[in-house]
This record gives sequence, C-alpha cells and structure tokens, in this order.
Amino acid sequence: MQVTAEEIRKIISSSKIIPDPSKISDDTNLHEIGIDSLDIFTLYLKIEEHFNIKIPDDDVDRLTDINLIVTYINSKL
Amino acid sequence: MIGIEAIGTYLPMGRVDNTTRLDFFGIDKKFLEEKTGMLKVAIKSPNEETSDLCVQAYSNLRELIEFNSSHIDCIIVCTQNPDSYGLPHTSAVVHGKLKLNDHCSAFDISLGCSGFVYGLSIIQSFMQFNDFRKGILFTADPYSKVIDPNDKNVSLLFGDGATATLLGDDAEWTAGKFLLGTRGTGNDAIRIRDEDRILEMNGRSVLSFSVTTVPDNINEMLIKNDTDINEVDCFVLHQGSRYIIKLLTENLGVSSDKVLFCAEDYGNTVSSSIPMILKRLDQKYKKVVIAGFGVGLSWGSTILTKNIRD
Repeated sequence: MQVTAEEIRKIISSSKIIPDPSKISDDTNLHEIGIDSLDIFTLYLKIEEHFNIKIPDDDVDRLTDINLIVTYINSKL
Repeated sequence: MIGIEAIGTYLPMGRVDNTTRLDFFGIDKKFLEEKTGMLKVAIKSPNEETSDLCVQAYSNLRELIEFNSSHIDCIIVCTQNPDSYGLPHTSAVVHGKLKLNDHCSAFDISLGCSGFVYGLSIIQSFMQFNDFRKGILFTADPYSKVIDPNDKNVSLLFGDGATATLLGDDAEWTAGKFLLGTRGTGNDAIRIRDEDRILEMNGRSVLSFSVTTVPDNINEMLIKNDTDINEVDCFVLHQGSRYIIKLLTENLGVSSDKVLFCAEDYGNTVSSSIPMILKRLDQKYKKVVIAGFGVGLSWGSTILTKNIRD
C-alpha cells in the first residue's frame, strides 16, 4: 500500500496549518508559502501518528514538499 | 483540609522587548504574537539571586494576607537554578533571609515546568502527615542565568519570576487527586549542556510531548476525580508558548475562552507560570484544572475547587 499525495494533503488539512491544501502543488516548498517551523512540527507529529512512524530530527529539514514527504513515508512503510 | 490560602508573586522590573529582536532572529511579528506569544520577557537584575526572588514573592504574600511568620512549619523551594551551585539549598538561604524559626523545615525540589503541581502535592502531603498548619511553596527558576541570548529557541520564551504559595487549613482552593508522570527517556529535550552550562531545548520534542501527553493526562486526572470536563470552568496550563496552549485547547476539545494565556508581558516563568495566573484568576471560576509539563520530561495535573470562606 503506497501513500499518495492526496493522503498527505488530508493530513495537512487536519493540521489546520494552511486554509486550503488543495491549492498547493506537490512540489511547492512548504516553507516558501509561509508555513513556519512550529506548523511543520505539528504536521510531522500528525504524520507520525497517522502512519505510526518516527521521523528523526535530521530528516525533517529535507522534507520540504509533498513529493518528498510521500517518497520518504513510502520508504519507511 | 490543607489547601491554598493565598499566592504572592514577583516579576522583576526588567524586560527584554522581543518586538525589537524580530530581524535578529529572522521572524516576523505574526510569528511572535501568534506562535511564541511572549512579546516581552521579564529579566532579573544581575545581582538578584534566586533566593531574593523568593523573598520578594514572600513580601507580596505578606501584603495580601496576614499570618504570623513564626507559625510557618515548612518551606519548599522549587528550582533548578538555585543560589550559587545549590549548596546550601536555596530554601535554607530563604529561611535565613526571612528569619524563620528553627522549627520550620526547609528543602528544595528539583523540577522545571511541572514543579508547581508536583510541589503542591508534595507540600500538602508533607504538611498533612506531619500535622503542620502553615507552609509555603516557593517557585523560582530564573532561566536568565543559563540562557544564551542569541538562541531563539529559548531566548524569546523564558522569563524570570517567583511565587510564594501559602498553604493552610483556611484554604481558598482545595486540590483534588493528582496525576503525575515522567518519561525519562526524553530527558535530553530540555537540558543544561555540560560543556558551558547553557540551556538548550529541542522545540520539536517538547511540542510533540506537550500536545500529546498533557491532554491524555488531564482527561485521566478528571476521571480519577470523577469530574466531567464540561464541569471545569477554566484551565490554567503551563505557559509554554501561545502555540502550545492553542494546540492543547484543540486536543482537549474545550472552548478557547476556558484556556488562559497570560504570559505576553513576562514570558514562560517555568514552575511559576501556573501560580502567576492563579493569583489573578477571576472570582467567577470555581473549578480549575492546573497542569504543568516540561523538563524531565515530567508532567502533572489536578483540579482545584474554590472554597467559600468567611
């Protein structure tokens, strides 16, 4: 079972960190659209809970868009 | 029944204005206002020691309520930034500065942001077991002693302050059952570095811990006290940051007007953050949940019920 970009969008939506995640493309840099470090922490917490995985601090900095997040999670599952 | 009779507080006059440091830290005003929430942080003067902060809080307590200092049976100081290197214990220094009687016992407890809740449980148990009538729980943890002013993870958040909570049998607030916890595997999330004795904090670890563990702890504590969450008038949670308070409010599923954030003008005062708010709480609140969480990782909560006094 592969994780999709839509699943990540749903998690972003439930995190309430941006008003409409459907408007961001898969390769949009999340930092560049104003998502700050604390929102990012919240997003990764939701992802960890949802997929029951642990994302180490060292990996967080490079997970900057939905594509990268999807690839990363699929490599962990 | 031993409970809280009155709370004295002390905030040093000094302030660091965080709005003047936005460019330096590369953040905008919205982040400061909505995420950290601390527009200013209180800072003690360099010659003020931890015991001096306690003495100032005690002076404020004396202004609020009459009591005979010779009737104080015990004092406890909660701090992880004691006078000098913690030897002698800061409570002994405070005892000396206040010229308390020899029969008054004094000891320190080493806890951070969970310290007031733990301390309340400790001092009540200690007093009840020893048949004491009056005791004072001090909280004073001046992080300015160990903060690197250039580290935005901590420098924008923590402020200095102290409180002195008088415990006795003419209580305004009575605590219910406590629910306390520790996750020692996370002890490196907030720590003093060995090499330079400077504070460092992993903000992500602290945020994740806070917003997941604390709501569960509060819900379990309420069950233990046979209280429905809707019966709670107000939640006085440790003032970690405005963002943590917001997430805790969401995760508890309660109205945001029931969860207070009051640290805009002085910052996160560690174990003093909860009593700072309790002191100025609106008289309309009758059932109040308090919850402390942080260094350790350590956490605890209880419910306070207001008593009708003459």
